[in-house]
Amino acid sequence: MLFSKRILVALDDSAHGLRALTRARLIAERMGAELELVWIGAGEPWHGYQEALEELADSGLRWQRGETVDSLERMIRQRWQQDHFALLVKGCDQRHDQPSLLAPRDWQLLRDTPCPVLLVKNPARWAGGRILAAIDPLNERESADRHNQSVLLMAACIAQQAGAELHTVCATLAPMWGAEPKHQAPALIEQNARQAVEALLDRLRLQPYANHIGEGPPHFWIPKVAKQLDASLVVIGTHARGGLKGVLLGNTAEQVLDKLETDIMVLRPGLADELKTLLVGD
Amino acid sequence: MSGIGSNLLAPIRASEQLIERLLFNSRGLVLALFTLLTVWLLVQASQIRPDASFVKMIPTQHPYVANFLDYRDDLSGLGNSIRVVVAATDGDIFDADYQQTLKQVTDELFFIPGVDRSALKSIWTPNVRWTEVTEEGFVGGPVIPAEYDGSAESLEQVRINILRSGQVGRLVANDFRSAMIQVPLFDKHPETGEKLNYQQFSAQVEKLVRDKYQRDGIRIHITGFAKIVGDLIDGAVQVAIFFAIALGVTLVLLFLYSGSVTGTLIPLACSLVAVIWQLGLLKTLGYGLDPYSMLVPFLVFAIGVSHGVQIVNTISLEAGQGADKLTAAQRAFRAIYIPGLTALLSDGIGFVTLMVIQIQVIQDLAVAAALGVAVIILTNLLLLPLLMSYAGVGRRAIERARRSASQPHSRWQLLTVFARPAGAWSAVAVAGLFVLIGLYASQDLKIGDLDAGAPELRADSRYNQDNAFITANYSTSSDVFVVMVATGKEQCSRFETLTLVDRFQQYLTNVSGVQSSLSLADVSERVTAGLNEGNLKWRSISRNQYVINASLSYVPAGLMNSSCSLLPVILFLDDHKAETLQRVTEAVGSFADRHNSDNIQFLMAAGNAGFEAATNEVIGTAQYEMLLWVYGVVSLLCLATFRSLRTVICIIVPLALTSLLCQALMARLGIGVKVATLPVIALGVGIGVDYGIYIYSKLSTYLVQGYALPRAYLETLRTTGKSVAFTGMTLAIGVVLWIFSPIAFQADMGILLTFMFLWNMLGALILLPALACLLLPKEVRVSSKEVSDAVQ
Amino acid sequence: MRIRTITLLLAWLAAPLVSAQADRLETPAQPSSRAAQAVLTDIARLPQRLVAVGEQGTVLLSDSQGDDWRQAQVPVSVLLTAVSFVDDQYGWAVGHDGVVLHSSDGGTSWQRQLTGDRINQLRVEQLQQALAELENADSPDEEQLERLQYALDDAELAREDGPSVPLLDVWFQDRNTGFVIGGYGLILKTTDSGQSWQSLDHRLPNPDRFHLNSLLADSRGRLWIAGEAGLLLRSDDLGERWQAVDSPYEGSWFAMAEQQGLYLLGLRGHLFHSEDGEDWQPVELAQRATLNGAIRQDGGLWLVGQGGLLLERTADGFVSRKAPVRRSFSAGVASGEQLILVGEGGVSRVAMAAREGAK
Repeated sequence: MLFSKRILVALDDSAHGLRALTRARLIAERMGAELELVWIGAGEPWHGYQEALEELADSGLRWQRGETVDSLERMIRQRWQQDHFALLVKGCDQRHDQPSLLAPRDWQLLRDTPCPVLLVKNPARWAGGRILAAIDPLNERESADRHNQSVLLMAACIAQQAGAELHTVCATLAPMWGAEPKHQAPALIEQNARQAVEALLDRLRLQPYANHIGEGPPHFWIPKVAKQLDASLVVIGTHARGGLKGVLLGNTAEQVLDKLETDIMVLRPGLADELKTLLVGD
Repeated sequence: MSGIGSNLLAPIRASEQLIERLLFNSRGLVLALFTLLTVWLLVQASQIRPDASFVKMIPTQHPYVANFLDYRDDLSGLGNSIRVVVAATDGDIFDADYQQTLKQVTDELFFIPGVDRSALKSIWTPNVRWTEVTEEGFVGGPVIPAEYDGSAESLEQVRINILRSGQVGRLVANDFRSAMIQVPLFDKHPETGEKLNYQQFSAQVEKLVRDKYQRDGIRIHITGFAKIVGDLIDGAVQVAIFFAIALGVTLVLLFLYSGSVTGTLIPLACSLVAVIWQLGLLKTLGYGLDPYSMLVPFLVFAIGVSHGVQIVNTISLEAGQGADKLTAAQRAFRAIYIPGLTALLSDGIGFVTLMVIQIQVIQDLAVAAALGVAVIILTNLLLLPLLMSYAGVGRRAIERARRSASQPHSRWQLLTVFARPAGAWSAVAVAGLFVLIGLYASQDLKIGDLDAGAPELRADSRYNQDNAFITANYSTSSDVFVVMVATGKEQCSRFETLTLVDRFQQYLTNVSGVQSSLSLADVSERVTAGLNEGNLKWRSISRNQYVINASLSYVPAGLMNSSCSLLPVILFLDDHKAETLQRVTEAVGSFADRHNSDNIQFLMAAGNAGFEAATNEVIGTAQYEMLLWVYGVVSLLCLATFRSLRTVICIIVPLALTSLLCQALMARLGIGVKVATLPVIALGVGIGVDYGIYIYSKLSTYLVQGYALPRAYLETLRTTGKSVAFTGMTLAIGVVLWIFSPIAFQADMGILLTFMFLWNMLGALILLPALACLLLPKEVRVSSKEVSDAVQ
Repeated sequence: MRIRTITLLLAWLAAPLVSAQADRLETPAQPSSRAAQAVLTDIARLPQRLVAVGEQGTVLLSDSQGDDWRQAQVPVSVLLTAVSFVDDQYGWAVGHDGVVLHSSDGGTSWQRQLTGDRINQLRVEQLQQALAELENADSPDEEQLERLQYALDDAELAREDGPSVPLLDVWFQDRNTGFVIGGYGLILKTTDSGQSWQSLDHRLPNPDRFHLNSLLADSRGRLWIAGEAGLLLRSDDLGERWQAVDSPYEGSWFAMAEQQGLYLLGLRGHLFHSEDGEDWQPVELAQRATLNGAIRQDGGLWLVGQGGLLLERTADGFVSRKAPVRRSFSAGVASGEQLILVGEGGVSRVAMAAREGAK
């Protein structure tokens, strides 16, 4: 099913909430999309947003103010039957490491939301900045390949639209002593990764500004590169493991949330074909 | 080769990803799980009890022991017993006070649980009698007469009775200054079925006999297997103290080496957790601690520390290169995964192969050690990185790591001489020389006990002093070899049987090392002479079955069974040295071969010397079988991991040299190969293989990157080699203090383990690169080519 | 391992040739390196040699006055109870199962001359002959007939029992003539150096068939037999006729000796002395251990007995000497300056001269 050109914006009274609204407005203006705002905060609905809402009203965008929802996931699930959003935008929660029995709200969103999710932290505009596409081309499975493609396509599209540099970032596995040379020699490991990245980019006919390949784990390398480049946005895929698997194995995308200072766009698997059509055309 | 190897390696490699994710993603959960398990196992471990059993120490599958177990019920008092001697230090036993004390001690022993009351023997028990011939015929009575009243006349009567009873040298000392009580024990209580609790029994004997009755003028001496075990178990406290000292030494040295508080405390804590888990699991599986597996916890600790130090070291290096705590831990985990897992698996499976030895105590040891190593996989490979990911190594350690990485020169430069051909050849030549020395010196390696008394305890220990006292003053030695003569029912007292047994006894008494013998034939002869007024000329087996039957109307316990189908021949030996035992078993065997028939069979063996003969035989073959298995398993695993026969040689040859030299050391120190020391060499292999695997793995990472061997080796030394050297030295220092232990067994272990720790370390640091230099050039060149191709 | 297998195989093949268990009368004595500590019952002194006999057919020879001993080849492995040599070549040893062994080479090798089966047969034959003679006589004594008949019945029963009667002493006058005595009143005589024997049981006034323990030829040519329950018999005609002598004691005699008169050694330390063999005076001893044998040398006399008893005859009577072991002595000889004693603990040696301060 094709996505409708509707962007869902979930707002609350956190610091990043206003930034999320600003970012959503910028995207909607560029893409010509509709905005639907929902309040998911704990406090008084729309508190502190009066000015922003007025600006929105003046902007000429089509927008509507939705209800206050208790459970965003439930609402999305219900609405998804009739109506596919193109994007969910939300301010990134400050911390995701508080001890609790349940997964943090953002993580649950990332796992359950069928459409791409953009978590906003960065106050600056994307234009003129750097967009990082986080890929894992060493995973040889077909589903992983499609996932990588969707991330790259999304990042490329955004970079083009926003006028920013496209960079790719790939974290390799650390050397294992005693394994075969290709898993043991850092030079060989890097070479292997580089070849895979280049092959993938060739297939998609993309030419990023630079490829950043380094020793992982991902939650170390990606934030490091992002900081070095002062990136604006990181596009990353997630396996969206939920339930017990989510508890035990977790998702890399969730782990980098606290370490990054950029915006993060997270893509679920299975979006590849639709996105391709949507963004690039047939 | 590499195809197969890759196929075997791939699952290990693939598994790493999954485990790494599971471990580091939900750290809190994993930590909580570990904590719960540790608490539960701690509770279990605190309930572990000593569990020694006579039968567990002997090879139950061996024909001798199998025979014994078949006839066990008929052989009262010949299995498990202790001897209590009450000695008068001033004067002799013909004293009212002394006799009163002896009576009281006999009564005390009667009531201690575990004692076979009907077979208890002392001059105060009714089954010890005197006999004499008079004009009217045979008279007799209990040695202590019914009308005994402590008066001088009574004591004189007792003296006469003792002389007439033939107990001089047996229950009464040759110099009449002490008397013995023979206390046979039930290994398993015949009614309740519960096993004899050696520690409890020994404590009771000490409390109720020695402590209560020893005073001015009276000394108590106690010997016997149950007492040895009791003393060993009591000595367990000492063992624990020495363990604690080793722990302290390791703590201090590790801190000085690493400069990191967390990097010291956490590996030690994880190793201790491994020990707790090991003990807890043992208890859960129903095992107890026996005196020989008391050292396994320390070994588990030592292996744990070896691995822990490697991991912490790697974490420091990663941290020095800029990784945060979690990243450093994760990377180190991945790096160490293969060598760590291989080393621990080969340790574990190597120990499991000890189960081929058919002695239960060693099989239990195998289980305990294998469990310990399996547990280390969890605590030191998983829990340790987890904890380090929370704690980090600390600023000082990171500084040190950075500083040493940037240093251009290194003290380790010296050792790289062995990675060059000239140095390599000289190292190999010296190793060859040591091989020759080792082969020569280990020829003298003896099986079995080489000393009198209990070699597990010191020569000047209370037990051995008691034993020396008894040997000096009594004629019946404590080394008893029993040959079981089996006949048809009611045939044991036939003329043909008794004359053959008589001849057998004469034949055996001829064997050097056999002091004397005792059997039903002796009883018949003596009583026949007694029926003829004690005339020596009548001391023969009568052809007249009625006369024989009359002579056997009262037979002391243990010389015949109730259905007259078994008569044990008790041989008293001078000692229980392996040569003596071998001579005896050969002599019995040759006599049995010539004379066994359907009517009569000479079966070996019972008595402690008999069991020891069986044990020696089993150990003789087991010794080499065990080494074969251990080396075989370890080599196979290394082969599967490193996919190269030459690599296996590099790792195994230094180990083999250590094993050989350890045997030579045992021969020189007069330590025989027995149940206690048999596994030590296998355990040494388990400890040493870790070093070789780690060093080789690290070395190959550099070789694969194209470094020449000397440079690669230098880098290896600066990182992994340093840890190996440190671990080897620290553990050796911790263990060398055991030489001062009051338990000879622990002291012997201390020397051997110190030697093995140090020599394994030297072998890994010197001989391994030398062999690599001589064996590996081709691979190195190929590797460089691969990498240089890749870079282009 | 392989050698052992081969040996076993050969042994198994040879098994039919070696009977699994031959009787002790047919089995040669086992060589034993500890033979000098075996139970030894008697010892004889030849001009240049000592010969000791004992359990399991052990015969020990010493040419070095007891310094070292070697074992002789003996065709039986029964307990030997007595040995006697007439010169340095000819000697006889007797023992259990009625065995009589003869050596003509000073004890180095021995042949079986008599066994219990043969003895039983001899007895039966001689009794049958004696009975026949008596029945054919003119006025047969009824009592004697009855006695002979009983004796014959007993002898026939004994024959069924097999060779179960031990011989306890032996004495030869010269190379040809000699006697052996044993349990249950057994006595045999030979005049042809042991090739043939006569049973003389029925000639002894021993109706209760007491054991005959010791045989002595005194300086007057009389033969004495001392035995169980105080039995004391004398023959003045070299064993043809015997009469009972009044015995001073009801307990068993174990030995007789002559040294300035006759001595009777008996149970529980009973010792009697007589000048002529008729009147016997008791000799008080401090010990009550049974006396087993006597040693004579140059007018001196020693007595040995149970429990390591060694008594020396001195001017003050019999004085106890400290023995090297506290095990029973059965017999002894004097050799050089020593007493060589044999008994329960094998060979022991004691200096003849009493040491200062010895008890």
